Amino acid sequence: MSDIDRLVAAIDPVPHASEQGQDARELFDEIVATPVRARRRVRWPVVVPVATVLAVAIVMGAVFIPADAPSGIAPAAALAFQRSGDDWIVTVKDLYADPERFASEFRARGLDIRLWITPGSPSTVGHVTSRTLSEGDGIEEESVACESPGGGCAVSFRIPAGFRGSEQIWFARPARPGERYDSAGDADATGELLHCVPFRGMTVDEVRAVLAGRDGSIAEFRVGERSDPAQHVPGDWFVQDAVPTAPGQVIVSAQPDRVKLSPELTTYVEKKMAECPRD
Amino acid sequence: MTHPPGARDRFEAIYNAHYPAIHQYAARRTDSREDTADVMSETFLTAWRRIADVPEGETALLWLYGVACRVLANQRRGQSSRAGLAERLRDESSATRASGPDGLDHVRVAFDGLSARDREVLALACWEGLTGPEIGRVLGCTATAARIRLHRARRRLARALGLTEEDQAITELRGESL
Repeated sequence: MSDIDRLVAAIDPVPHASEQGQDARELFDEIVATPVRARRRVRWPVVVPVATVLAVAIVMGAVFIPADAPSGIAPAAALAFQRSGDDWIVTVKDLYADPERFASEFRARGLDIRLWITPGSPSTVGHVTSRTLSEGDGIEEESVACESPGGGCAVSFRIPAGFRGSEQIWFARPARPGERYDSAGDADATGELLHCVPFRGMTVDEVRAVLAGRDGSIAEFRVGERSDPAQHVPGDWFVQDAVPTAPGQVIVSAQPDRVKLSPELTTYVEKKMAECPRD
Repeated sequence: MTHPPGARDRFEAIYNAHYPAIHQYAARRTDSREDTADVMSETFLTAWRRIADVPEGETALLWLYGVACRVLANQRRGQSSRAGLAERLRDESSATRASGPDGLDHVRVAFDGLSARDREVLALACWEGLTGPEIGRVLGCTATAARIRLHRARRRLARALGLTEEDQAITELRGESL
């Protein structure tokens, strides 16, 4: 836990759960006495079942909805707007369009929305990586049937037609040769260089060997408490973390001492490894 | 339409297992017992109506947090649309309510000064103790996006407190030095 996390934990306004008393019992009785109505459609985050993760062992590439062939004489739009009730469903048609084009197409519909589509590491491709939204602005990612190494992917947004705020959205696309990533997922996420490698705690030499077998390499190291850059570290140092920085490249945090994983991280790694094919 | 047999037992198990955590979640984010009670009843009513959608095991808690989060957002929207003087006065009194003799008022001020979005992601991490992927499930974003949001929120709070934050899990590379 970082210092910041400790400070936030220390100002927890309700540090202890209350007992489940009479109120809880009454609420329960009231709820189960409620007649069940017809189901509404549920919007729940894209959840990638383990089986899907296994099935999506696909090679990275441009895996977005193919842009429709432009019809008519107008230049192809970077965004497609489709009306759905009180909302616009906006679909990105041209991942490589200039951000100014997105802005002007939004502006044409009275929307002050800036969209940046930047190169991301494979597991972030097809996902919104960052947004500056005010709570409850009503803009939501729409999941569409497209394949990315992470499973579900969102290349459409649902935007209330009456949206009068200002919003910036960053969205990850595959990197072109020579491009560096603007956003990176976990180095062992599906589709990433170290997928299915329990690299945390391995030695630098071991990780280097795994990477070499996958046409990858360590671009640089980060060492010490301040995460200082280093070009070389001894091969028997231990790997703390790795961050994808460009196709085939990771930056590795390393330290001379053995790495102690937190219980949460251990559980996370175990879960991830359980999804991997066994030799 | 009625629930299949066994739905009541399943709901009861979920209710008993997660009531305390959801109550704590709601109490942390509301100013009055009445508002907390409203969030509880609406959240669990949703779970009852959609019992077939509630995931099995511990994930059910994340699902419930997600529902409660939306309920709270609706509640706040309702309050801000009323936007009466009484509401504003209450908001002001709630800002001073939390102060205590623990020397952490500067942290509360800095925390309250963050956007609602930053506060939520920090609270999920530090109060509910959720991990990045879990936060992603509650907020309906990817684990990566959740980590990025958390990282940014921590950094903004650190800046507001005049601290430099050392965080190894850096995922945002844009213009950042790792």
